[in-house]
Amino acid sequence: MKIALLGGTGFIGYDFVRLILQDKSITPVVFTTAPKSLTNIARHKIDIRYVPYSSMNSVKLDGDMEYIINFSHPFGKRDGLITDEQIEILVRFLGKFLKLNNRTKLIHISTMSVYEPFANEVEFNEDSSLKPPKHDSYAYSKLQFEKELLKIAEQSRILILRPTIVYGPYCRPWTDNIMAAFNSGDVGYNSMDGLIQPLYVLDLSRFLLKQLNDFSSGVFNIAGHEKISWWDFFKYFEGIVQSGKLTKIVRQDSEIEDHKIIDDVKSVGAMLLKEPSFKRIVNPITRFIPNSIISAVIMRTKNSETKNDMKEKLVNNAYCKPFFGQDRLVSMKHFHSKHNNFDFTNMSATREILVDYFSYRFTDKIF
Amino acid sequence: MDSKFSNVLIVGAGAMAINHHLPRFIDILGCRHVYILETNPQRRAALSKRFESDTKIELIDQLPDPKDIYDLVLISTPPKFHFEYFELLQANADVFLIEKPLTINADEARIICQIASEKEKKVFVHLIRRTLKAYTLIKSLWELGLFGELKSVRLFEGEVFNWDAVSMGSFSNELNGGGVLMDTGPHAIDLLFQVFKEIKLIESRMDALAPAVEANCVLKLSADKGIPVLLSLSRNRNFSNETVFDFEKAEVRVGVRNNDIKVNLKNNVSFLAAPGDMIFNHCVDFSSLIDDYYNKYILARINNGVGPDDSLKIAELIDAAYSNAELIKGGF
Repeated sequence: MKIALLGGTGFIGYDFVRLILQDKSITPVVFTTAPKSLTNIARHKIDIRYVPYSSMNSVKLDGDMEYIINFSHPFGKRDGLITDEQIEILVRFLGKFLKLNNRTKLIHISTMSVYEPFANEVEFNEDSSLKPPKHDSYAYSKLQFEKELLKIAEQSRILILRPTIVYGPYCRPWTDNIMAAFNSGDVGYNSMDGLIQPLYVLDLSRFLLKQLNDFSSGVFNIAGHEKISWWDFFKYFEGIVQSGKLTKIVRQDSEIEDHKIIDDVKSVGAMLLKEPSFKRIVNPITRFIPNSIISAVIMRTKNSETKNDMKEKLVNNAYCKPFFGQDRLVSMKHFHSKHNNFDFTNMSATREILVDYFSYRFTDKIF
Repeated sequence: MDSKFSNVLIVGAGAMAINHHLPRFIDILGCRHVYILETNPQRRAALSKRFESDTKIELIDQLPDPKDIYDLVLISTPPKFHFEYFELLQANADVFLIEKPLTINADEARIICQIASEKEKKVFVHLIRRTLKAYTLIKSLWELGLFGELKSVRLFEGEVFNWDAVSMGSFSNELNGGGVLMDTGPHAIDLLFQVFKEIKLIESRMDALAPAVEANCVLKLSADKGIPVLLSLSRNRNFSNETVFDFEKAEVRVGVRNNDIKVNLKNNVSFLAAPGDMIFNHCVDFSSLIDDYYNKYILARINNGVGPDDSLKIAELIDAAYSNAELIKGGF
């Protein structure tokens, strides 16, 4: 069985690739728009095709693909194109695939967790009206992409999965960043009472694999079967990393706002420092600053650090946002009505593998 | 300004050439005309648009006439083409700057060494870690016997790959010759050669074998008088990015991309150290390493340590590592 994977180089896509490589009857072809994301997948003897947006519509397609699985989501500026333009090109590309062979089916991995606003104690189902605020351009574009895809495929040939908070090896927001935060110190929180249904990535991959042999079309939420708070979720990672601690930060809303502004300024600064042209401008200037001034600045910085509360300085405030106080729950009724035999993995059962993953990803341990 | 490097040619317009070399050609070398040879029409068109108002920069799509003479030729293509372009452009320049690794294999490196020697071509290999001073300092301290006998060395270099690649080059066995060992490997091995005269391969393990491209590589080496050296490189793991020198009386940790030195004496006394003139200037980053390289080597026209012969030793070790590689079983 030949399948096309778009975005197979990312977190969920790569997990799925690793799973299907164990099944010799499946031949994956990975299409990628970003060469820099090939690190993991290039380790496998697999057909990888680099297709930049600029040449996507002139690419010769294989007519014998049984499935196209799309993990990718065009977002931000790439190849000189804005998000809307990339979505348009990608939708046309997928549409061409579907026209080429009327037996080809499309599976699209969308993301329920970004379709704000959520509400406490409400389990959103597949028919709920999704109205992400326009200023949340990521969520907005996700929904726009999903709507466009539904237009190009017959209903019987498209499956849209909306996973919630997915975690596991190589997940940047919900695994790596949390591990990195605990690894570098304490992790502050304001409220982590919000409830979530974390989904282990391998469960999603297993479900996708099952679909290749037993396809069912439609739109489905997919979430883990445990309903836990963000606090429990972070505690799980605290236990894995065994370094920093989850630390309650009591702040007024205005203080949180101040910190958000400071964080924004820091982000802009960090972005500028990554920009080679900025460095080129600044480096020659800083070279003219006498060492005596640099040493004075270093001494002053050191003194001010000593005066401040050191504990506060080492606490990571990235997770103090109101986001973590809100429930982000989805209904699994529709999913269970069609797939009642599918087993999900308990978080406790994934601990050992993530302990190993932490050693792999964040330490010098020799494997 | 009357520059010694007025007229230069760049071959290959990838991220390294455009974002890092080109600005230094203008700002540090004072080049007046920079010709960029790029064979990919899309990339060439994009760059032509980007530099359309810059009269110093011109995009070209064909090799220059042998009569066209340049003060310097930069070869910044995937390694597969380094040797080919060096041969083709021999008549066009006496000074060459070649991105690391010098070539895709040791055989080609050997021929470049021979040509450079016979035809008096000055070849620089872009091994920017040669500007770090910490490793020669460690070598001096070792020779002085300050911390006693050197028992073993472990070098860890790794972070999640984030290079702004514009082509498949870094992930193509055919174009790059391999993965992390061809990528950060030459830099890391160069650091070891700043301390040791001779390094031999004992064992090589990688998490992918050709035609796949490895993200991790672990080499067991033997240096000088049989000192065991472990080299661990990664493109998908976050390492300490330190070299650990285990001396009889101290464990010394040295940054692989900066001049940080941490000394932990065996009696539990620890202190930080830095090369003499680096006390207030040890915040080294990628950008400043390249600046220092241009000032120390290119502008001074001295290639001691960054010449083709130095890279040949590295290429021979890398060749041996790929020829003898076994698959790493664990990991993610």
